[in-house]
Amino acid sequence: MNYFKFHFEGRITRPIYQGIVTDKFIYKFPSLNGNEAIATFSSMNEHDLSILSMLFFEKDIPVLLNKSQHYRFMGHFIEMVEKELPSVEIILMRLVEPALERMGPAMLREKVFICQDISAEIEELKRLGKSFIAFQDFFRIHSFVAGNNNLYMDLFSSKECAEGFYAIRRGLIKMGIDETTLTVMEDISDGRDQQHGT
Amino acid sequence: MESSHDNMLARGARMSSYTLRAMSFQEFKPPFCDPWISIHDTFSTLAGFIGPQIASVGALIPCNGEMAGHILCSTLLMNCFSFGDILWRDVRDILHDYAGNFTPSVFVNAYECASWGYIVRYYFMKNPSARFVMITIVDVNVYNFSIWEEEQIWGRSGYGCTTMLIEKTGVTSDNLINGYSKGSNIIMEFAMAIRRATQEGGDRVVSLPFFPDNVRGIMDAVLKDRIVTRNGHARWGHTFGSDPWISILEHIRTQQEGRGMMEFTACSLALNGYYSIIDIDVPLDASLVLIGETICQ
Repeated sequence: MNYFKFHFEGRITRPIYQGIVTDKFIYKFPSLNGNEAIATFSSMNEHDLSILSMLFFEKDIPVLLNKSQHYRFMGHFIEMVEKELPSVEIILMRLVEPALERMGPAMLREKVFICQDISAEIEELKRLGKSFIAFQDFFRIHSFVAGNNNLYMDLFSSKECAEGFYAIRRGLIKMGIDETTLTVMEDISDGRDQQHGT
Repeated sequence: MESSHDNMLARGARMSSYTLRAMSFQEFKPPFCDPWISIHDTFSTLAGFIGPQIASVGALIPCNGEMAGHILCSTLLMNCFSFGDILWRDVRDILHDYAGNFTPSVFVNAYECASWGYIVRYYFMKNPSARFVMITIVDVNVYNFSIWEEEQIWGRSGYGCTTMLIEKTGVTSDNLINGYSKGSNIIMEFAMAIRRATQEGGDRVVSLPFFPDNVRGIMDAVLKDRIVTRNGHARWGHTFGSDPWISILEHIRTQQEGRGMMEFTACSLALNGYYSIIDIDVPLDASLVLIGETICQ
């Protein structure tokens, strides 16, 4: 079977969307009457704040996009995959903090599956021989969220999908992602390990 | 002899594609743990409850039953991962000591209370020949944050874990709806989606989430001509994705005399408007446990 892995690594080093990157920790929920029920950390009591103060948060990694922008980015990525790689059966994505805002329709589509750590699922989908794309970003979307602003994209599919993969790679770079590792294509048809590079 | 499905067809009802083979719920009373112990110790304590539950349900998987997967999902388990306080692979390692081969491979919280529905959709889509999927829903306030104790729509929070074994027994996916609200009135949109989904319901019992009476009243009004489970909010609080499953356990407990296979439509709503609605049958021989009390088998 013709089964290849395509790998891309990048990171964000500057804001990729215009607009203010809010650093407020806001829980924004739609309520019955259409108003928004907003609770912030300012409504936390002394116990809550004491717990938070005990946790370690990296100070040197900047927050370069907020929650809304993060969802916008994930939605754009899904739309790129649907356009450039229509034969891909599954879009696997990582998300650690989902509750802040409503995900857009693209993120709820049937071929999209979002979980907290996608590594075990990648192995399972490879075992099943699925044509899929795995996308993991570690963007820091708030100062209380861990992250290093890196992202990883892996496509497992036939060699013929190369063109679509490189189109998405170009799309990511155009959106402001810096490529940190040269994109690699690897033949994994028979467990072989033959890197072709780009 | 007429099968239960023949009986359902005779009543004009929709057949389920899913059967609940086993389910167990365990309640956690807050505070779950001392908030000052390490998150690893908190998860070790949690694993002591979840692990045996998972193992007991997992033991019921037939030898020839191909599994689509075992997945852990939650609404509240979020901050500990986003803070970077613990990683999912660490949680898996802790759970493995208690759940062994049945340790869940993946953790899902993106779809909040509706996660179980999105899991069923995905796992049977990626592996259409599989018969079973096992799902564990865990909601616990690991840091005892006050902001999670109560909320405007859901009211008082309840905590616990549910493990269930679902078998795909039909070929259609029409019995599972994963949708989302387009506007801001999520309760009405959810109730209307259930109403549309149950218009050919026959004797099907609609199992709803637990909400305060003013919120639940809206749903009950929209579904006034359906058979719905009672609102357990006063007893359980809002126990997130576990609500409709606790509700099924409670309903069956009150229907023990002469009951046969029961047909439910289980429904969950996430506060961000995502919802899952599934038609699911509960046969007489299903293994059902509510806080240590065997309801069935």
